[in-house]
Amino acid sequence: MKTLWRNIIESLGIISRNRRAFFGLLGVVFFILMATAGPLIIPLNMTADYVDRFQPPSLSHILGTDYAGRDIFQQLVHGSTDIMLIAFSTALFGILLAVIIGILAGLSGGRVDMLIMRVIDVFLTVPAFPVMAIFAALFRIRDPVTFGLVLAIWSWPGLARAIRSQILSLRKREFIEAAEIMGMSTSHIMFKELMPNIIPYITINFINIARGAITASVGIMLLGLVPLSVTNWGMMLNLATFQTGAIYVPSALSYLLSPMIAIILFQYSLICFGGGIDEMFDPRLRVQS
Amino acid sequence: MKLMFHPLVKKLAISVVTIFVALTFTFILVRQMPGDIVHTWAMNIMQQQGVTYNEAREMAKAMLNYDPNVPIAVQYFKYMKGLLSGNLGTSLTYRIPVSVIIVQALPWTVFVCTLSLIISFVIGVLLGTTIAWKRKTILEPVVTLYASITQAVPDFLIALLLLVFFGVSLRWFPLRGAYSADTVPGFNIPFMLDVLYHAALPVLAYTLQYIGSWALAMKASATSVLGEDYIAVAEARGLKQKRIIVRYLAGNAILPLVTSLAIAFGTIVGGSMLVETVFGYPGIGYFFGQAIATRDYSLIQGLFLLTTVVMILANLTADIIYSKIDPRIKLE
Amino acid sequence: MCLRKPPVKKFTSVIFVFQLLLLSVLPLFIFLLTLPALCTGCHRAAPEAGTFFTAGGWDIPPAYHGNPWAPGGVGVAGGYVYEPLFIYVPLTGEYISRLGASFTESPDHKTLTVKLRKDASWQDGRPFTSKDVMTTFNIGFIASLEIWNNLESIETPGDYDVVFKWKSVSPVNTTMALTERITSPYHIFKKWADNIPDIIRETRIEKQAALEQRGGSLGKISPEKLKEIKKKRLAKEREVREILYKYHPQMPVGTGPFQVTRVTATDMTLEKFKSYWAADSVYIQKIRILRWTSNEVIWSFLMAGEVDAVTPATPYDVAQQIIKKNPGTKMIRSSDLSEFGYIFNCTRPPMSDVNFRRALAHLLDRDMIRKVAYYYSEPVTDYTTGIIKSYRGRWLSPAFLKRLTRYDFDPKKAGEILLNAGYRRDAKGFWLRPDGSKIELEIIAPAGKTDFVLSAEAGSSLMSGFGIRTQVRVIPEELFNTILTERKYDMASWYGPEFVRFAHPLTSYQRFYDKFGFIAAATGFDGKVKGPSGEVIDSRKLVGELGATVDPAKQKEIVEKLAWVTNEYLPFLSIFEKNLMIFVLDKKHVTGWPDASDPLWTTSPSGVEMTYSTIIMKGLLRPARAEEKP
Repeated sequence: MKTLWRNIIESLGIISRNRRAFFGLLGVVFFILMATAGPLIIPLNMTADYVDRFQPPSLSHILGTDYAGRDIFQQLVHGSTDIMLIAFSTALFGILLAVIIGILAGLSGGRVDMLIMRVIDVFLTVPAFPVMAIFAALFRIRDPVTFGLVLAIWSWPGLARAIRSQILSLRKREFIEAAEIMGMSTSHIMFKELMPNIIPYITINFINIARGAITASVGIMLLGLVPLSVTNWGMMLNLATFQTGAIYVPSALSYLLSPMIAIILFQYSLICFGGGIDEMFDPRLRVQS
Repeated sequence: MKLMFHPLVKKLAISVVTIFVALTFTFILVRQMPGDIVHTWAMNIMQQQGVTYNEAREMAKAMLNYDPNVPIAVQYFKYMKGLLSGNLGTSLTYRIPVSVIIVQALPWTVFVCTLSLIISFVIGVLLGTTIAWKRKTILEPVVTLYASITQAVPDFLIALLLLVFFGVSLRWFPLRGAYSADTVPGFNIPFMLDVLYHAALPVLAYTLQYIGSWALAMKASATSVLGEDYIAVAEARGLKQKRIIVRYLAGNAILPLVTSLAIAFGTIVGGSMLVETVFGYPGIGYFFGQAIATRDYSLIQGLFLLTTVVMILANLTADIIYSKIDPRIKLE
Repeated sequence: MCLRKPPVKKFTSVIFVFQLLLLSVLPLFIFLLTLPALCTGCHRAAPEAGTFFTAGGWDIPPAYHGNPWAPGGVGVAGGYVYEPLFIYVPLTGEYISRLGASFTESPDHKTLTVKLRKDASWQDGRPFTSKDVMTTFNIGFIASLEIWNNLESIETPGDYDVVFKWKSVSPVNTTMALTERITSPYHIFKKWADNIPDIIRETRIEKQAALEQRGGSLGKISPEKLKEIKKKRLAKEREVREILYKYHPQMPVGTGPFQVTRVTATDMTLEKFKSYWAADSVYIQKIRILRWTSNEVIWSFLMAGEVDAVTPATPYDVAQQIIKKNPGTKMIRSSDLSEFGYIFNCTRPPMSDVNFRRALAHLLDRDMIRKVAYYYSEPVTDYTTGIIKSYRGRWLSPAFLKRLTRYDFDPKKAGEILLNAGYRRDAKGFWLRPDGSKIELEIIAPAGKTDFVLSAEAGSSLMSGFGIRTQVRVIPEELFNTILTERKYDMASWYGPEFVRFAHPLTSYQRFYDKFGFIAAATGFDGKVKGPSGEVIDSRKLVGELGATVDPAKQKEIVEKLAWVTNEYLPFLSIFEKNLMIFVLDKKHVTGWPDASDPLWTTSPSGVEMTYSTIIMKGLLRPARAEEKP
């Protein structure tokens, strides 16, 4: 237990020494807080007030108001839960799939391995966004977790391939061979050896899959392919661009820009944070920078 | 001879299998979409033309060339047979062959994608070479920051921003479409200028997105080339800097990037749905978005096939180029 | 890294760029430029002065064809290529002459005689005669034209005389006959037209026999024989219809002021028909129609001043921006002769409870929903009568309206109604049904139709705020009708009362209570209810009676009863009377648009293209001269 804590503190130390990574960490923590505690602190009032529509940012509405005079900041906070859940569940399901399939391919070898590799090839060559959009239209998406599941179907192959090759290279190591000769249970050793090796991949991929999920889900919502939920960031963009004509109204600029900037900031935080994690696992990078 | 072609043949075979699997997959996928399409059409025909439901259903089946009572395997066989003779089916919403839509839409997408890739490639390569050669320049952190920011901004958000600022606010560029109403399509200067004018924002959206990654890739590639002996030799021989940069440094460093160019082309065509929808640009992506929104089965299938084939061709091209330009790497 | 880089004196990037450009970019660039040119086709003449730019929909070639009867035919061009006998102006009740010169009704309203214009001709050069009118209506028989419910026969005593004989009188017969577009010249549609009189005759025999049998008397024909005749007739009808649908001429042939000359996926070109009977007063030489894909694309055309007249539903602020950026733009508002609101599924609890519907009528702030969804429309915040608001004065007296329940915005009252009906709130403030079950509702709206989606959204947030959990579901447009008629929904954001074409309550109440009425099918409410004084009101029967009388007093009496049922039982809740927003741009390409107050604009609900074409035909619209340009 003690070592675990020390590890975590050490990692945080590494990240905080790198300014960019620290910014990323702060950003990620901020958005997580926004998604979890935010809706509890900031109430959502969706009562329309037409006179106050398309207000620029002011003291009473710090990000202005939407086409029906409702506070954009409140919507942004309440919509962040959806985005976070989509990103998190996509990453979780994606990683789960990748680990299972990657280990299966790596350990079983032979025909199973070959078949899985061919399947991965297909997944990697077929353009992802159209598939995700078709999936979104196909499954009736009612909640963000289902959305995440749907997006996860197309986000595991890269990681699965990496895990498989890790296992393959591990198998060639001497101590495994020795264990095999001695008749010890190889899978136990492999698992113990494997985990530390693939954890960096999993962490980095968690962030990358989450980022991909955010982009894809916002894109799908911008196209209007999933049910309406006004506070959703992607849906806010859809409403601003295609439904309410906000892009033509100068005072409504905030309605368009707020969800955009939120998405960009979240993405950027994840990129910076991911960079930090990369360095943490790969000391050579640390030395170079 | 046989040995030389063998890897390529294998690659080709895998590509064909991939296309086939992707095709089967979408065929099944599209048929799982909710809502009985024949029923929907029958109801519409019934309301419009005042015929009985059964009649309307027969008409709908004929119009859709699709009968839900026929087992999916039979339908699949029929579809594949049609495909072999170049028949991609008829679009349900546009009521014309899918191939006609593709032929009309593809040139616009290819036009915009190629143009933006070339521009971003040229600028990216220039930036990358400069950074690698000069090492300590202010360009370095600027480009790195720019690259990581554009990485965070999806291309359709760039597109939206461009639309709002340059289209709506400043009115420098047209908002939608591929050309304006009062030009005459054909080989004439005004039309071509108009087409360029309308393509400017979509091209800019992709270009802004891609410059950063080209610059970083070029920087990495050029830095490793700088470590090679022949650069040192060239310097030792007292060759002009310009010659070293162009002939030795850029020339060699560009090669690995060319393969990425092919892959980027495939990605951009497959992912053009959002940018083209934002600009109302009548390319492949625009029709793809429309087709999914209106559940136009045959059009979805046709466009999906197209994007997959483009992607696979791009990958294949990348592989071939790679093995050609770098003799050390053979097609595996 | 042992290698040392020499210090760089001047970086020769400019030359480098030039080399790269020359080597790769320029040739490719030129090649790419020719690509779109290759795919959009051949040379055409540039649009000269006198071109009118607008937008509309049609099927993309090669699906496009010129058969007005077959699916996918003609498209938006219909309003310019074809003409009816007369144009009906709802506001004034006036008929503007197009192909008809004059008409007379017999005193018993059983016949309508029309004298045709003698100087009209078809765009292929053949003269226009009474036979073409008959052909159009006859083909209309197998296309289920509504007029045949009342029409006995159509006769042509002379080349320029047409007589309509009615089997039953109706308040809308005359308008129905006069405003039908004459689309089918005999010399082209002969093949089908010649078969149809037989089918009409056989249908009549059948119906007569069926009536006799239902009356109990065994007529001349046995039931078996009747069945056989019917089967044969249906087969024949189907056969004619099938070949009719397969007939796909390249372009439509009409008698109107313009001919279609070119159709592509993005635009359509029409040119003036030189031998048009009013060619002298048609100053517009060409019409260029851009393909209508979605409202927001049309807004950007308007912002750029690319179209001269177009009618997108537009939010207040966008309309203001359009007018600000193009000072020559005028926005004309003309009633669409329809009301817009929520359809209730009266077969699904809790919507099946009239108290619940009434509570919603008080709870929903309809004026606010109107502003959010469709600012430029007329608010309807009191009654839902089935009579659109702008025609209320003609049909319902203030004294009568006082007897109806008024549904003013009053959330407190809504709560009282619910409590009295046994509904209650749970601990979190959400409403429960009398049996204690949760209420979770969905409002559906057709995808892509901004106004319906926004109104559904505004309604759902109001209801959720009140403790009735409500979500919005956007349905692909082509699925929408089916979901409604199969009643797989709770509430739907859609049209209710409609006065289009005849400006008469009959259309509206047929929608609400007729056996084939759309709202009737969607709500499951047949209107058979107890009246104000306990008597049984059979709305379906009343609609039948309304359609069979020309007596104004009797019509008014029936309308009052139907208005009462509609308002008290609320199968539909009106939110606003829809206006068409016609944006016209003056002095850019064309000039001379009529004033916003001109009654001509009230013809727009039955097809704004026909309104434009009438304005052009009357010689009002002219090419803008260069010095006039803004």
